[in-house]
Amino acid sequence: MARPSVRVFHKLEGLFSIYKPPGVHWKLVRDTIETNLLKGINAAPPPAPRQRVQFLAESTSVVAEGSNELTLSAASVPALAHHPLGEALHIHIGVGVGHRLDVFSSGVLVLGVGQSNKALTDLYRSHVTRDYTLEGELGMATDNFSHTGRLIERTTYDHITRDKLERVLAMMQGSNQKALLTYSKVDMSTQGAYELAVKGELRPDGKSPPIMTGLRLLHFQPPHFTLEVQCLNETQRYLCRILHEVGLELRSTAVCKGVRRTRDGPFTIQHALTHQHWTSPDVIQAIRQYRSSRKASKAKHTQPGKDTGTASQRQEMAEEAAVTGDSHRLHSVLTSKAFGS
Amino acid sequence: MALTCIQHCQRCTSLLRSRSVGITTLQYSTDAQHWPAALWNSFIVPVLPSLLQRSPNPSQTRQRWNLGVRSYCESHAKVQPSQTKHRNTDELPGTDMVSYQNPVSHQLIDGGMLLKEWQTAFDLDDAPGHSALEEISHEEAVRMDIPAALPPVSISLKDYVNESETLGKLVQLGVQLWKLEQRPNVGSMLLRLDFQTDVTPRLVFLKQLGVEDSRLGYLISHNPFILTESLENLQARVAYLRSKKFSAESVASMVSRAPYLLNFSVKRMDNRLGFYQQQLGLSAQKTRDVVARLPRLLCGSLETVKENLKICKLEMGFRENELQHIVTVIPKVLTANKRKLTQIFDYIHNTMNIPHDLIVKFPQVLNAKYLRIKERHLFLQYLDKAQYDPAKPNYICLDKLVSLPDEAFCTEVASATLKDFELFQKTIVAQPRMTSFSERHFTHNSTQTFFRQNNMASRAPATTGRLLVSFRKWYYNAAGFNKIGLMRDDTIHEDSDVKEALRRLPEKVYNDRMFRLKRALDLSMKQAVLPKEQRTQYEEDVHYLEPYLKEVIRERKEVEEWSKK
Repeated sequence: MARPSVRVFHKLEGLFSIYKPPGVHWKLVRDTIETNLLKGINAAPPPAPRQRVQFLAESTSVVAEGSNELTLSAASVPALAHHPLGEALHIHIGVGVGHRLDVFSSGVLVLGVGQSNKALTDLYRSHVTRDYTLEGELGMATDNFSHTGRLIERTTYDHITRDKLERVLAMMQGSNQKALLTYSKVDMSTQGAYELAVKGELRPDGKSPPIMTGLRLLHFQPPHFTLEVQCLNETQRYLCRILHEVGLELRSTAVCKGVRRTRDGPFTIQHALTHQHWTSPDVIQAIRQYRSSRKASKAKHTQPGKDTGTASQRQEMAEEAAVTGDSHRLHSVLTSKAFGS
Repeated sequence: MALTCIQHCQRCTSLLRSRSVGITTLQYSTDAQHWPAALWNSFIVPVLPSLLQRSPNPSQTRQRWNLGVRSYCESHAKVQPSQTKHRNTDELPGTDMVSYQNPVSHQLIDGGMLLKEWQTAFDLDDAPGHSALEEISHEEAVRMDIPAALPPVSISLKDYVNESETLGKLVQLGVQLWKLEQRPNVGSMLLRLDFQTDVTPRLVFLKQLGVEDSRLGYLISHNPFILTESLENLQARVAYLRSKKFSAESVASMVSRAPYLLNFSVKRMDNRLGFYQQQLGLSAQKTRDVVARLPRLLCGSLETVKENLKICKLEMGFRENELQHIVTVIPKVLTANKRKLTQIFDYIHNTMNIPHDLIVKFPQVLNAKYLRIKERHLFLQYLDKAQYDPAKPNYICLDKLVSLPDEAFCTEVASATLKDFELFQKTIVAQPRMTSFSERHFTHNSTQTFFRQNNMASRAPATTGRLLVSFRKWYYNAAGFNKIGLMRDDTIHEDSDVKEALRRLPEKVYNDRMFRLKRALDLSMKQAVLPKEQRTQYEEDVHYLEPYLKEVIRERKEVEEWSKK
């Protein structure tokens, strides 16, 4: 018979995503959530105070001379040593952070509680891609590639058209694709490699520099433009530098006005919790949702009992490949042991 | 009863060990040996001898205690007779019983009262000696209390709370012992208190003052030292507050909200009240209101308040009467975090373009969270509803912007759903940082420029500013070039950058420089210095070349950057 607080503790095992607002360090966010979860555990009603038996000796009134009978009475006294105010239970909740976000950027931040932190390391190693939305401004160059830095130069940008910008982006994507092929260490003359490449499931084998697997122009209204990037092994500063290089390629300059992560592996921005919802019940809800979605995907992937041949697996994966492009990785991560229970 | 017995035994063992003259192999010490050495030095809650200063000593308990101690002492005396022989014959003479009395009597430095008690309690001639193997009657066996195995030192009050009356009653009051035991020495202080004589009179005093029962726990958790403050002092301070015409209810609420209030002397409170009245220029009644609403103003340091006032006046540019109004509505501005205050003000004034008089009308905005204001403003901007000027239509009241909860804000002010607001929150990106000090314009209705005051007020508090300036002056005079009438920029080494900067100087400045250099060369030839009145003073020294030099260097760097590409 577990205490209510222990039951709450068990419900908190899992991964969930939050939306980190810009301007705060990720550590502050993690600490806030840890505090809120602990508050939630403490809010569970405390157990009834334990009783202990204390024997009190009473001497009965001596009426006759010889009758010095001692009677002992047993009294049940509350044991104050385990009173909630007397004892601080040092519960340690381990809240781990997935891919970090720096102070300037905002977006989906994956956190794990308890045993699921092991799943986080698996997430790292599985080369899941992340989606970013980068907002840029033409005509400025600063020292740290973002609009909060010291201005170094200003340039004109009237000559830039959408067509030119898209050409530059295509060139960048091409070079990234080549890098991906080199780092994935597959022999490009094989049929298997070709099929993987066609489906967009090639991934680097081992360590690699930041690679963009997808680059797209969302919105262009000079001087402002917005890019959508799908990448691996990146840092937010690298992305700001990409924008700067885009500007340089166009014989102008550009700075990054905002970096927003919209997807981290299977966690999208849709289910990310905003800061009003960083409380224990909402987190429990998010974890429950994640667990149920995992069960559903597990069931879907292990459904074909007989034909577990590669062809049918690829077929199923291809359905989801359009969305995320890394469902293969996802599958292996989701069914790994660390996610168990 | 059981308590006193236990405590006697504990006292015996703790005393014995405190001298550490080799009686470390007592049975009790094995418990202590489990604790690592480090614990002994920190977080120790020793059960000190003064535990029993005022407890009544019925003869029955004394006898029982005698029985207990003697049997105890006997067993140990028999185990280590050799160790009772020491150089310090005062402490441990040969015989069994006496050996354990004298160390006690000579070690009782801290409790003079204790000495007598111990001696009176320990009447050797009273009862005959007992051997541990002697058979005792059933009643006696039942009567004999087994002392609880309380550790003599502990890092937690948990071990003593079942036996100590004070701690038990405090827990029932609602005091958070787990917090208090983390503070150094507080745990042992609480254990030393006697509930009847120490704690009860103060609790009664607080109750009479009007503090509610439910607040007593909070008060003691935050300020356990109220239980050691003398009653006369407490009464004097309350009398002082009443004499300043604080009503009884307001005194009670002040004490319950600022737990440390009554630990401060009358002089200090008077000093602070005077400071607030004088600095803010408020009437007596208004000062009373402000202090009654935020009683911690009387507790904390005045330096932070002074700095906050300076920021409000100089950086933000509020006038005296505006500041008075703000402080009467939101006294928290005086103790707010400076960085956060300036951040919020900067956002409201420079980004949302809200003028000073509107901020003064709604000072609550200065108390709100920065993130909240930012998100709501951006949301309204996105919906094209961010209009805060009361003169124009569709005006949004600042009070509603800040104080309504999210649900009400969305429906009333923004006419959108909560879901839309959350979706919008997920699209917010970083905003540009605060503009630098020289570019900021906290201008007010009058055309004052606050640049110089900004720099002064922002960089350092007044005291170290003066120190730095005096050091600089001394250094300037020690450098010596002012004695021959030169300025700092006259002495700069001429490399190519400086040559170019000199070429750009205006004619008059250049001619003045030439004159000074000629004069200085002349003086050095004659080995003379200027008289004191004609020497360049620290205040007169103008760094005329600096802006030109900076420009030249920046240009050169730019050229280098370009040529690299």
